[in-house]
Amino acid sequence: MSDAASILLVEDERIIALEMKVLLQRMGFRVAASLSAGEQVLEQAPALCPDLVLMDIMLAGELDGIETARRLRRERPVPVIFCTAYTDAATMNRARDVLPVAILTKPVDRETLRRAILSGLDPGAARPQDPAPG
Amino acid sequence: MVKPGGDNVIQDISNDGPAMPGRGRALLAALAVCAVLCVGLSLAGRWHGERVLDEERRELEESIQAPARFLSDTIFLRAGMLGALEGFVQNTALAPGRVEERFQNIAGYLNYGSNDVRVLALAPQGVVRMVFPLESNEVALGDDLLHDPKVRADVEQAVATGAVTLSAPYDLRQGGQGLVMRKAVTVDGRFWGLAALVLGVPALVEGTPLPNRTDILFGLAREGRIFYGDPDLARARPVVAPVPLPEGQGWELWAVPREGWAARGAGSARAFLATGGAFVALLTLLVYVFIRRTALLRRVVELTALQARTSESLYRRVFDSVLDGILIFDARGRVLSANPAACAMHGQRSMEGFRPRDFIHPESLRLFQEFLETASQGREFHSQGRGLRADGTVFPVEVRGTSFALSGGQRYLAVVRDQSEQERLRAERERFFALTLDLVGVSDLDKGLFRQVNPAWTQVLGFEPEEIIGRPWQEFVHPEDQAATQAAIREAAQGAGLRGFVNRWRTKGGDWRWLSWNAQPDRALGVAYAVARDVTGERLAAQKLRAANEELAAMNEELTSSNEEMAALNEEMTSTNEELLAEISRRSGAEDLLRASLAEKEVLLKELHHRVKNNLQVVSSLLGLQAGSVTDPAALALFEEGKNRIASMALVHEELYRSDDLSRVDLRQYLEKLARRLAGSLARDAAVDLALDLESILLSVDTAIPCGLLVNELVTNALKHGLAGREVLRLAVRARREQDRVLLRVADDGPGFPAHLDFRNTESLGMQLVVHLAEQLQGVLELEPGPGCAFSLSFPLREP
Repeated sequence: MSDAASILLVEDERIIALEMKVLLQRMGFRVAASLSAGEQVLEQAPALCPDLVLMDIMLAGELDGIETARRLRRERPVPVIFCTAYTDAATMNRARDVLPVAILTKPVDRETLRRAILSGLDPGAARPQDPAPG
Repeated sequence: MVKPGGDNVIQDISNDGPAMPGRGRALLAALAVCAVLCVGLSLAGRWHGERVLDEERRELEESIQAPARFLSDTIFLRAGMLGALEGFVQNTALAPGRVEERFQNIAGYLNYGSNDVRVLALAPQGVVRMVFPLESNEVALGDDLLHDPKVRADVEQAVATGAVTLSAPYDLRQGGQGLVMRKAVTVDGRFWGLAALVLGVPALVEGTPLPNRTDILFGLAREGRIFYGDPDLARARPVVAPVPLPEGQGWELWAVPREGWAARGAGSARAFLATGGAFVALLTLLVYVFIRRTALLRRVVELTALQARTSESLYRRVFDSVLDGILIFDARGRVLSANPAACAMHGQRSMEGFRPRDFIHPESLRLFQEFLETASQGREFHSQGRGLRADGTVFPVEVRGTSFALSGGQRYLAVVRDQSEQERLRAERERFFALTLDLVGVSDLDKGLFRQVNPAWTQVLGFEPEEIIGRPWQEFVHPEDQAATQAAIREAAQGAGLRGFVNRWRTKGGDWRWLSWNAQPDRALGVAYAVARDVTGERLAAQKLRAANEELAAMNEELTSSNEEMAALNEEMTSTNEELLAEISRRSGAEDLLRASLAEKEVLLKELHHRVKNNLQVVSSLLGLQAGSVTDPAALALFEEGKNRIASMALVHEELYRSDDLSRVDLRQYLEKLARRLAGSLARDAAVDLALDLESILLSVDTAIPCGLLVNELVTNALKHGLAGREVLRLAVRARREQDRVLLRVADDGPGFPAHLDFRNTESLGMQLVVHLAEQLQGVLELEPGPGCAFSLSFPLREP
């Protein structure tokens, strides 16, 4: 598992976060951490060094996912995928401004998610290992 | 018109420009004179230099004659010493040994006081036996002169002539130059021997005044060659003085000034050149000044002539162009000259030679005589008279005259001005004065007495002019208006004049007329010009108008009171209006509140939809997590179906959240998303050819959720069963509105619904849900005959 791409999961709804974590692990990715607030992301991301951030737009703290991504990208160029229930035009436009790899609408289709993650990871980055059979 | 010729004259005089060539000529002439003088001066300088040099040479020559003689005398004197020695020998030779015995004494005696005699010697039989002084001359003793080849020639000459011989100068053994004098001594007619002496040339020269002459360089020459002194002296053009020597021999004394000839003459030449140069410069300057002055004088003469001509021309132009007539008479009154204005005035082409009666009206001839008399007394004449034109008509003139003296005698000048135009203007003014309808008058400022009035006064007030002239205004003005009139006149006299002042005047019949006055004072003449208009009619009309106005004012007052009542009513209305406005404002506030409340509710509703969707998501996640422990693929598919159903419901809330009114969902957008999501999720790797034909239809939540779930089941069924054993499945979803019904159709080109089954009565949960949801929608569900599987549903559209 050590070669698996590391993904930082950011989701304030813990149940959903749990399901996502399981889903990602089944896909063969390593979940670096599952956080619920933007502030935590900015604090821990430098140490975690994730290959990709999968993040909800609506978060628990003061910062929303878009602002968090903007500040995070200022520090290091990590690819970001937004995963949101909010799909109103204003929010989508704001989200596009920070150049995410993809904006996915909940509920997220498993295959769509997998493709988005793969396109977000650098060509040289580790590919997800084949999920355990079964 | 006078052209500005005078300016040119001034310019000509003051301008230096034209005088420049004169200055150049003068300078050239002066330079030529200077050059000639310089040549002359140079020649004179040379001649003078030669004269000075000649004089110098003569002077120097004279000045060295005495030293030359002195030198000659000294040498002769020394020759005499040899004679004395001969005498001594002749006297003493008879006594043997006597000569030798006494020689030193005699020699010492002879030589006493002469520094130039270096040696005295006696040589009996030609052999030197005695020498004085002996000291340092011992070497000479024993010399056999007759046999000494160096001196033999001299000695033999001395023996042969018996006279004193003189050798050429030679260098002495003791130093310096010397010369030897010898004389043969005979005793009793027989040759005894030789007497000789050696003279030192330097000492010889020392003995002369020459060494004191510091101003000259000198030398001694023999046969044209210097033997004593500077040998270069010959090249310095020396002056020469002869130095005669015994036996016809001779030297020459040569001398030149120590500083050279040029230096001697230089000071004199400088003085000559300085004086001459100053003279030349002075003469050059004098020549220049003389020529320049002559040229300037000529120029002044020319300019004076020009000025005179210009003055004459100027005078002529003035004379010709002045508008007044100018006439010049001789003492008898004949016209000498008349300018064009005078001729034109009298209708003449020329007036020269005219007598007074030719152009003066007979009645005015007396005035002409007066003019001549007054002017000849040196006073100025001024009068008015009448002139005669060529056609015999008469015209008024004003004349000024004076006299002046000219070389030919007394002349009279008259300036004549035609007064016809002034006369005409005066007559015109008087006509206007008589004709105007207004009262026009002139009064004095001092007492207010009338001086002149026009006929209008008679027409308005009835008084004849003579009844008014000389009388003060106070006699005519209404007693009540006297004070105001007095004040107005005083103010007018300050200079501002009167404008529209009105007062009442008495008529001859005793009535009163209103007069409106304009007046203007002329303080210089002490009069006031006044014009008055009868405004009695206007005045009466104004009074009537005033009465009418007063009546109107009374009516106005009544109106005002009515207005006040109206105003009270108005005030009441205003307060009612204000209450109404306040009510409107209150309602407007309530509306704002309502609007705010509505906006708040919209936010809440949005939040609600979001929450519902989120909760459904959580439920879906819970299911997903639970499925994590299941390994049976069939069971897992069930979980997946459940999750899809929840997602279809959640999608309704998402669409609601995105819609404008938060209460209705656009079926087209909703079904498109739903179908694509299901196809993406369930089709795995197989391709689904999704054909969507959807109309935009707005559905309420109550309709949208069962509708969505129903389509979810039909599409899931199609994908689940239709794909079995196929690579590509064509799946068509259609939604149309027909009047107030919605027509839904989901069809695929798969194997079709099993013929043996009744879709209304199957074990499949999916189909059961479809049937129940169709019922909930009060719709009609039908399975279309194959090929493929196609379900259609028609349900009524219920407006929310």
